[in-house]
Amino acid sequence: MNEKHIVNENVISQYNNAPKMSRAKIISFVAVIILVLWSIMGISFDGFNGKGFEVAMRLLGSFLEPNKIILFGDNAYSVRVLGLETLAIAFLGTIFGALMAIPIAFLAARNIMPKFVNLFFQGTITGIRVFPVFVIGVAVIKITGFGPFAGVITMGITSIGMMTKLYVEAIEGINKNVLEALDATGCSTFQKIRFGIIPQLTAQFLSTAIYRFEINVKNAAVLGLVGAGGIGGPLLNAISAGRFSDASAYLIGLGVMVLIIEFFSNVIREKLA
Amino acid sequence: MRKTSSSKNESKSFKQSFLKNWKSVASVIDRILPKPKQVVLADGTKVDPPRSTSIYVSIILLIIILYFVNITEFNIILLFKNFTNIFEFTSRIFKPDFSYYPEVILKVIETIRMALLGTFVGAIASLPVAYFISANLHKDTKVAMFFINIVKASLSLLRTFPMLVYAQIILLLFAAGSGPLTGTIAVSIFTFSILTKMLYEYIETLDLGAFEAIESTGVTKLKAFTTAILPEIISVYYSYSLYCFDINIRHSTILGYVGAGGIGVILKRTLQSDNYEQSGMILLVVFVAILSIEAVSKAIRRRLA
Repeated sequence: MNEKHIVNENVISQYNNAPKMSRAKIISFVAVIILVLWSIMGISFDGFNGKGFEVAMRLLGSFLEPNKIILFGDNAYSVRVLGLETLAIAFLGTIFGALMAIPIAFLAARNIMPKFVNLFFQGTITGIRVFPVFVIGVAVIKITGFGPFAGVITMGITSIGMMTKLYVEAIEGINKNVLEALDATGCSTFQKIRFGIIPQLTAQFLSTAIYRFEINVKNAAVLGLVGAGGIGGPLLNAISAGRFSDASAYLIGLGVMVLIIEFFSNVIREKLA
Repeated sequence: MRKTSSSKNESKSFKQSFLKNWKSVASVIDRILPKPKQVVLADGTKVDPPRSTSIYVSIILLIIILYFVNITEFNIILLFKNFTNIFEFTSRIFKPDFSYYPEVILKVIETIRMALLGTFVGAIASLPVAYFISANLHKDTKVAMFFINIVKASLSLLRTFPMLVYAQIILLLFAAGSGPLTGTIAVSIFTFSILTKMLYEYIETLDLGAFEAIESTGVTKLKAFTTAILPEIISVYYSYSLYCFDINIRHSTILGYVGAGGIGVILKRTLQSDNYEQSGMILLVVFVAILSIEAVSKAIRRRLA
């Protein structure tokens, strides 16, 4: 039908030469469909019942009326106290993680260390990254007991994985010409590190740390699971116990906190970049 | 023109005014602080060295840290004193109980299914939404821009909460024993919220020349999108989805902790009942599964790029 509108022969030939569905595309398409069907078969959908709708309505209703005592109050379960605790855990956890990540990053950098050393440390990082958070949490609680201190250490250990990975990238991207130039002026090793290496790394290290801080605040809910302090435990308890107006207050607090931190982190990282 | 300014522009101007104010604050601080010593060079010219703020920054940082240390009951001595406690835990967890293998495999498969289906649903939903809220495609209609800003704001609100919170909420909506379903829904909400953002941010950086040329022939916007933009973003879309799948696999090991299906359910049970050898087996299988999935997805993403 369209052919008669197309006057130009070139257009027709171009049109016929348009890439067709290749074999790889068909195979991957079929593979995805099979995988999805396979997962659908494994998950039972019997959980739907009339109760769900009712609960959802009640949930929405109470989410619009947050518990004001928790939201603005000053007791031990208020957003202010728990939010500050969450912030403290994330902040100290980030610093703790950064302090541990810096030496590991230097050991795992390909341009500094021999191959077997950095392979070992790269493996360690992958191990830390893959371990689920609450396993680390349970291990840490064996040492520290329950409470926010356990949260700090857990946050620190879980931060190492990503931070080291980004630190390694920063270290591997160092411009060595600067070091040669410093060598030429007769600098000592310490001076080379102070004026040649540190200035090249601080901006990226800081921006990574700030980014990780943002993630750590967001992940605070996970820590509450194992009893490691912060806003997460009370929030999840409130949801599972059906105290939705309390949960709503915590969610508002967490959301506002995360959005503010995100804003500042973006501003600072834009300046650092 | 001014009326159509999006929230992004607004937030940008807010950001700029914030930076400007910050500069004036910084100059006030500069005036308060003592001046560093003037350096006189050999030829007599005087040079003002830049002020070092690092000492003040470190003092402020130290005060914050001390305050937070106080709040969190940070106790480094306790850490060293009780450090040996961890060896009992690790020595048992590194001796996996291989007879526990069959149950672990079943649950790992359930986790993979949850992550797969959740990622699939989230990814399918995110492409059309990303098309509708890409600001550069719709900047000519004011009403659309208004709705786009609302949707973007609610998406960023959606992103502030971790997957676990969604799982915990959704768990209430279904009958008992529908953990995997809950997990799948939580995964798909999470995937949707981050994938949509990644996609519309990518579309907004694209050059719209081809899109506008095709639109000018009189076809609908959607048709122009599928002809001009879609081929450009499709491989990025696939690789972002795979990346989300990677993240989801790792996150959905946690979901079971609140009862939302997958490996987390038995991991929680074994950890709480002190069966650390069984936990070790679970971790071993999870480790292998995650690493192999990551390797496959990385290989596919490299070919897509």
